[in-house]
This record gives sequence, structure tokens and C-alpha cells, in this order.
Amino acid sequence: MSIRLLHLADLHLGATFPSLGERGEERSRDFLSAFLRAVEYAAGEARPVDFVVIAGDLFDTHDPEEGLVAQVEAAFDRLEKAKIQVLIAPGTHDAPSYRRSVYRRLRLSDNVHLFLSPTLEAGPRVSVGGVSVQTYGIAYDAAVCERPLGEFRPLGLADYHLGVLHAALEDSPTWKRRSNDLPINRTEIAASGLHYLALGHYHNFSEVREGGSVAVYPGTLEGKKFGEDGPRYLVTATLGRESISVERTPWNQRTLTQSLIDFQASDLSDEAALEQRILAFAGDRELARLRLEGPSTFVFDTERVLERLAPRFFHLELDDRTYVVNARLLDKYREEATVRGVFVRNMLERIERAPDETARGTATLALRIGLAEFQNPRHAS
Amino acid sequence: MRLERVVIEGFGPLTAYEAVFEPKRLNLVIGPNESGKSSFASAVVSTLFGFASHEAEALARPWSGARHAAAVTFRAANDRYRVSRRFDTHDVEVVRLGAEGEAAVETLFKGSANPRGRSSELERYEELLRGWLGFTDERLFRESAFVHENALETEVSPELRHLVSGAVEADYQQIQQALLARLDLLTKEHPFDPRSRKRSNRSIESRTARLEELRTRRARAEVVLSEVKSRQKEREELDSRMRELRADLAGKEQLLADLDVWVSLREEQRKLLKRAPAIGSELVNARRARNAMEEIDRRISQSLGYLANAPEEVEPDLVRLGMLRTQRSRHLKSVEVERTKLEATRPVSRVVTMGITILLAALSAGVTYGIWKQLGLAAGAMALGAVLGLIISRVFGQSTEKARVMGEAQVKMVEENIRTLSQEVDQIEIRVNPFLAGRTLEVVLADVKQFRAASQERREHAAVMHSLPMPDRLEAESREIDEAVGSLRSKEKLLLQQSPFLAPFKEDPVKIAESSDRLKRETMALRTRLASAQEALDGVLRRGGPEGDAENLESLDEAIAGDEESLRYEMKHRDALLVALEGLREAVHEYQEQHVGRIAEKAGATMARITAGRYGSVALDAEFHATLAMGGRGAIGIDSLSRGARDAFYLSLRASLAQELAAREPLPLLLDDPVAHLDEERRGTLLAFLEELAEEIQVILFTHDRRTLGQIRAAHVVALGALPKGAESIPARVEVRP
Repeated sequence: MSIRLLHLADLHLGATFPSLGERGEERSRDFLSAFLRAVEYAAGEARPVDFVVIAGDLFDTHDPEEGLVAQVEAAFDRLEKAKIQVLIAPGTHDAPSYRRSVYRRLRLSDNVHLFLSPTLEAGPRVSVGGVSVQTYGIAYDAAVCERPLGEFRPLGLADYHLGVLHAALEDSPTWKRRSNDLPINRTEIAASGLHYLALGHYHNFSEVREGGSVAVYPGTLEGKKFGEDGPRYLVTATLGRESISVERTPWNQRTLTQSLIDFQASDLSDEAALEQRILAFAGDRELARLRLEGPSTFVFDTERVLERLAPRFFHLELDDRTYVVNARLLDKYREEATVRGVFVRNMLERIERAPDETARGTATLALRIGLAEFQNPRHAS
Repeated sequence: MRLERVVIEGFGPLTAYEAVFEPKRLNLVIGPNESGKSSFASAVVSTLFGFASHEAEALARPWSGARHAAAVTFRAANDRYRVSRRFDTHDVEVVRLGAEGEAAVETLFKGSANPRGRSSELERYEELLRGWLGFTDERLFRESAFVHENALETEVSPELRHLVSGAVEADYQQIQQALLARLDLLTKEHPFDPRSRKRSNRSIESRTARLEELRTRRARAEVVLSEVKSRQKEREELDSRMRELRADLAGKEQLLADLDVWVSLREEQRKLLKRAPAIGSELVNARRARNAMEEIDRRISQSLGYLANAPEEVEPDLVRLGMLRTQRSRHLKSVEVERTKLEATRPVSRVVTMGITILLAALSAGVTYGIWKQLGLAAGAMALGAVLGLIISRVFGQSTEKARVMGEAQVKMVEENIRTLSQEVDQIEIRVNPFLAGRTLEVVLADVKQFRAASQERREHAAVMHSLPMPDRLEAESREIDEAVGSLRSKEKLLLQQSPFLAPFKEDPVKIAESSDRLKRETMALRTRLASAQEALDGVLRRGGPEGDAENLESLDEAIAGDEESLRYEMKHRDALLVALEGLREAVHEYQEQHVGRIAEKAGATMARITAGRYGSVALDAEFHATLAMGGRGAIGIDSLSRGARDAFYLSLRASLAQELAAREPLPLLLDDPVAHLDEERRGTLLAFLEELAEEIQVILFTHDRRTLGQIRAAHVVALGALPKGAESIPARVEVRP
């Protein structure tokens, strides 16, 4: 007496990654591959799930390119052959209210139900092995944005009531809600009468249990931007008589990592040591954003380090927030009767005189850049 | 700073070596190539500053296995100091000495001073270095105190710019260029020169423009969105109209579909019913063929069963057997006849011969006598008749014998044939015996023929049967058709109940076709209305983006956020680069104001003294291009000086720079064999100049060239390794210490 569903959301197929440069296209393909692998899993012979639910942002834009649309259609055909019901609720990125919306031309197999109403409406009532599931869904529409769960009441008798929404949970302290999001809150979830709310919009996994309702954000299958770090999960839910359980399987092929290299706490003595430290994060599946912080006892050039180490990563970003306050290093130069000595003296004075934090930051960075250039071995050749 | 004594326990090739220097005289360190001049110089620097890298330290380890240690005694300001360093442990001891001798007055520092580490001890030690030298950068000491082998041939201004920049990888001009190049990637603006502003946009300008465009698009999207919101009522009306139209359309399409289903149901029924009679006749034929076959089988099993397993050869065997038997009996008969004949043929007996002879003799005698009636003639005729009778009976007897022999041969041949035939007959009889089994050959042959005919007939019937489905299959199909027709009829009934409008057309194909056409026209019209309603809705939703489509606010926000972040990063770097460039420019300017004038002044004074006032003063411009003022001739460039004068000028500049860089006190000038490649005259001029210079600043000249010894007037010579030949000719005023 239980049913299982594969809960997908925020697949962002067709997303572009200009900040990754020539690696952008490869990253786009990662997203498609994650989706296709999920479909293969669902259509597997063991019949691991009865439903596939896509809670918005299947596509990154309302008008994706034809080749991609054809691949998605083929994936739905695959699910149709496996006799798996699919429910799609469009999201903020692929809202159907556009004239050129993909959902006006997407060829849908009989097993796929697309929710197109801008208010939460009842979808098909599906029976799986004697268990009846009443579905509900809503299509995001920027022009409506009313509270989807406000007046909502479930329809008739069914073993389970399943809602599919691309909505923003209001009372989450960690997420920023935008004015055009579809707002929901915990009270509404508790009062909804829905057994399972398949949510989408927020890109990290989250599970909320309120008054017998379980609301889940599965998160992205591949990290789209920094903040979607670490493992990404394929989420399946089992709706049973006694309880509703949610299982997660790591699914991402590449991993986003944000980390801090603190010069204060570590024993970094030169650029080579710093490079070794950064290389601890290296790998061709890694997208890393490393923040360098604290006082540096040596002068290094971020651009130079980045240029040398970037090929060891899928993508590397260095956010250099270090500052040179190491007295020894600066003292070494400031007394010199050289241009370098005068430069260091002047910059230190400028840092001291700085009227605000921004100016101090700029002057510190200027001192760093200048000193690094004095010591740039590239000039020697 | 003036070096007094260097004591090396072990350093590269040098072991237990001590050298003493004079503060105010030219010090000449002389030794052959590979004697360790460079190691000696390096030992001085490393004792003071330590090793900046493991590699350098490893290279300088003593070859002899002596302790890796050295000590340098020097005078700085008015005090004397000794710095001793153990390179393996980095232990350094600094003591202040009395006015004379090596006795320590005070220990200033004792501890580890490894420049590769970080410690408070090292900081204390560097404080001492700063006090003596004004800086702690080993590289700055090395580059400013040392004058390298080929320095005299280098260009003066880049060398000076390099030194005053801090003896770094680049001179300040190159550094400025590098910073400007980095700035150029970010912005087209130029910090110092508005005319150098680039034409095309750089990253910041492009990004700013893109951001502006994105923000405009976002603002427009918001406006349109609020418009759409304000037209919500209109939109809802359109939505509900479209819903109605869709419902209507769905109804009509359902009817059309029902009609199609109904037509196809009837068509299927028709096809099925048409098939039924065909199945009947096929069934009759199949059954008839089966009966006939069964009859044949019965017949065969009744009387011809014994032939069921007969091989194909039986029939020819039987025919041949008949033939052979006939042949044999014929042969037997002919043998019988021959034998009879043979028995009849007896050899002619003597009696017969005698008889014939007598008969013929008598006959002849009688005839002759009868005719001629003469006894003689009759006797002659009798003799003649007897001879003739003998000849005839002989001839006759011979032919009878021949015929008998031939007859016997023929009988033998036929008998042989009969034997052969009998053998074959026996063989065949063995083969066909099971089928003969008491039957006559004719009967069996007739049976075989009958059996063949029956088998052929059976095959024909079987072919008919195979061409038709098995009767039970046909029966099953017939049942299926009955059932299918039944189900189609019940479906039709159900459909007619659901769509009563179909009832009137039940038996009228024309009406059905008309109705289908009408429905198609109606659905077409509904679709057109739906499309126009959709267009009206699009009109409401249209928000003036590209291709009249709306823009996604979230995507725009993300794009804006991304660009803003990049722009912030770039602008921070641009600002920092501008500050760095400005700071560098100020530093260069300040350096020139504070130091360059003094360097030029000192160099000028040195030149004037050494050249006895021939060159009055030296001027250095912003890029360290030097000019000299010559009494009455105004400024002249160094290029127009003689080579000797140019060497002197370079060294006086280096000397004044070494004084200036040291800030507190002039550094000694350590020259690594600059005279090696000079001709004798030029070397003489240079050595004379160095002797003069040594009065102002300590000069230590390393050389392997013993001719130098002959050309110096007054010097303190330190021998490194064995003294070169010619050292004995050193003038008395040159003090030599081994």
C-alpha cells in the first residue's frame, strides 16, 4: 500500500555558463546527463518508482533550443514505455505564459501531465496497484503570484494527495525570497491536506514536516552556482500508510566547493606552499572557489597562481582577501633607499590615512599588486 | 661598512682560510681560476644574511668535510663587530669588539637566524643588520655591493634603474608597464595621460554597458509585468472563453471520434462476416480431403499393408525377376531341343559306308551293264561306283561329325547362361522374398502398382489439406469471428447508447459521411476561434521583449547579479592598480628628489677628484641617463667619453649608489675581476682609479690576472691559494699576506 516517486526540480536544462569560459558547454552537458541518467534510473527494469515529478525549471529558459527539446521528448517516451506517470509543473525559468514557451510545442506522451493553470488545480487521479493518488499542480506565472496554498483544499477521497509546486518557502532564514516568487509558509503546508508537496525553486535539499504534510525541495542534480556545494542528490519519496520517507542518492558528476584558506591559521611561507595548499582541492571534477584570507607573510600574485593552477581544476576561482601586515616583510622593504622602499612607505602611509574600509582595502590591494609586480619573475626573462 | 677579517672554517672549496682586509686601501684578492674567489665572496654575503634557499646552502657545503661555518669582522659606524655563523644549524653569534684585536666586549646576539623561517630571534638579528646597513634584503646587498665581471660593458641607465628599484626582477619602468598592461585589460582609461585612452571598450566598460542594458530590460520587464497584472480581468475573461471553446471543441472532437469508431466497428464486422462463408467452404474441402486420405489409409492397411515398408527398388526387382525367370525357362527349353537334336545325329557306321559303297557299286555296275551290256564296263563302273560310294560316305560322315560338335558347344553355352541367370535370380529372390512370401510374382507386382497409385492419391489429398488450415483451427477461427462480431455488436450497442445521435445513421452511409463532414467543419471553426482567442491572450501577455516576448525576471536578475559581482571585482582591481601606479610614480619621483641628486653629486665629486677637475659635475635625468659637465664645454653624454673615462664614471656612479643604498654608511665595493678582459692601458687607468676610490670607500678587487700586480701602485694583497708567479715582483709598498 505504498507508492514511490522520483522527485526532480530545478534541472535547468540548457543553462549556459559564460563564467566557465570554454568549459561552459561541458557543464551544460553535465546538467542534461544528470537528467537523462535520472530518467534511465526511473525507467529501469526493477521499476524503482511509480511516478516522476518535475517541480519546475526543467528548462533554464522558456524557449530552449530544439535539439534539447527533442532529447527531453525522447526521455519522456522512454518513461512512457516503462509505463511511468510524469507530472510537470513549470517554474520561474520556464514559465508557460510566454508566447514562445517550450510547453506550447513540447510533444507530450500520454503518460505526461503538464500543469498549466496559474492557480493550484487538480490533475489526474492515478491508480497504482490499487493505491489512488490525486495530483495537484500549478504553473508559475509572474503576473499572478498569489498564495497557491491560500484557499486550497484537497479534492474528494484518495489514498494520497500529491502537490507539485515551484514555490518559495517564506519563513526560511537562509533563503532570500523575491517579490515575484510563489509564496508558501509552514502554516499553509500544515493546513494543505496534501501528503507530499513536491517543491522546486530552492537549489539545496530541504525537508519540512508540518502537520502530517511533508514538503521537500530536492535541490539541483548538479550545482549551478557556488552555494550549491558538495553532493547533489536524486530524491525519491515513498508514501506509505504509516509514514512518508525520503531517500537521497548522490547524483552529481562534478562538485562545487567553496573553501577558506586562512593565512593566519596556516603555515604558508611562500607562493609554492600556497599552490600546494590550493592543489589539495584539485581535480578535473572540481569547481572550486577558494577564499584566501588573513595576513600573508609573503608576496604572491593571485593572477599568476590562478594561471598556473587553473588547468588542474575543472574550474578554479580565487577570491583573494589577504592583506600584507607581516611587519617583518614590510620592515624589510620600508627602510630601503630604493624605489621599492619609498613605494612601500608611501602605500603604508596611504593605508593608515585611508578614510574608510573601502579605501583601506584598495590601498592594501594596491600594495600587494605593486609588491608582487616588483617580484614578478616573468620580468626577469 | 668596512670588512676587516673573514675567517672561513669550511665553505665550498675553502677550508680553514683567513683573509684580512684594509679599510682605506685597495684590497686585491688574487688567486688562479677555480681557487674559490666566488665562494669567498659568497661566504661574506651568506655569513651576514644566511641562505635564502636550501639549494644554495647545499651547493656551499664544504668539500673537505670541515664544519660549515664562517665569521666576518667588520667596522660599522664607529664600532667593530664580528658575526659568526654556523650554516648547518643557522646559529649566529654577533659580538661587539674593542677598538683593536678580536676580543669581544659585548655579545649582541646569539641564536638561530634562518632567513627561511620566521622567529622573533630572526627579527632581532635583522634589526642589527638594519642598523649596520639600512636594509635586510640579501639580494639588495649582493647586487649593490657587487660589481660583476662584465658590468663595465653594460648599459648604465637600466642597471641603475634596476638597482634603485631594489635590485628586483624588473626596474621601476618595467613594473609600471606591467601594471599599465594589467589595467589595460580592465579599462580603456589611462591614469596619467588622457591622450593614451584606448578607443575600444575594455572589460569594465563592456560590462558596465551590458549591465545598463540588462537593468533597462529588467525595468521594462517589470513595467510590462505590472501592466499584465493590471489587465488581469481581461486575461481571466479570455482564459474562461478559451476554456469554453476548448470544452466545446473537445465535445465535438469526441463526437467525431465516436463516429469514426462506429464506422470502423461496422467495417470490421463486415469484414469478419465476409470471411465466415469462406471458412465454411475451406472447412468442407479440408474435411473431404481428410476423409479421402483416411479411406486410402484403410485400403492400404487392409490388403497392401505388407508393402508399407517396401523399398523403392522392390518394383524394378520384381520386374527383373520375372524377366530373368522367363529367360531361364526359354534357355532350358532350347537346351532340351538341342540335346534331342544332338542325340539324333550319330556318326556314319562302316556298315552304312560299306552299304553305300556296295549300293553305289552295284548301282553303277547295274546301270552300266544295262546300257552298254559289257561286263568290263560294268566292272569298271562298279569299281567307279564303289570309289564314289566311298567318297560320298566319307564326305557325309565328316559333315555329320561337325554338326554334332557345334550342337554340343551351343548346349554348353546355353547352360552357362542359365547358371548366370540362376545366380541373379537367386540374389533377387533373397531380396524380394519377404514380399513374395508365397505370393506369385504377378500378384505382388500388381499390388505394388496399386500401392503406388494409392500413395500418389494420398499425397494429392494431403496437399489439399495442407493448403487449408486445419479444420479445428478453422473451427476455432469461426468461433472467434462469432465472438468478435458479438463483441463488436455489443460495443456498437454501447456506443449507440452513449452517443444517441449516431442512431439515425445506423444504416445510412451517406448520412454518416455528411455528418462527419459537418462535424469536421465545426471543429475547424472552433479551432480558428480558439486561435484568435489565444492571440488576444498573447496580446495581453506580450511584454515588449525580444520578438515581442516577455523577459524572465529571474534570469535577468541572475545575469545582473553575476555581472555586478564581476564588475565589483574588476573595479576593485582597477582602483588598486590606479593607486599602485600612482604610488609607484610618487615613489619614483620622491626617490629622484631625495636620492638621485645626491648620487649624481657624489659621483661628480669623485670624478672631479680623480680626473683632477677635468670633469666637473654629473647630472642624472629621470631615467638615469647621465651627462657630465666638462670645464667650459657644457654637458656631454657618456657615450662620447673615452673608454677609460667611461669605466671610471661607471664605477664612481656605482660607488656613490652603494653609499646611497646603504643609507647609513657606504658599503664596500666588491669587484669580481672587471679588469680581466681589458687591455693593458685601460686596465692601468682603471686600477689607478680604484686606488683613488679606495680612499673614499672600501674596495675589494678579486682577480686571477697576475699582470694586475705589476700595475698597481699601492694595495693590500690577499692571496687565495698559491701565489701566482710574478708575486715576487710586487713592489715593496704592496703588502702581501698569504
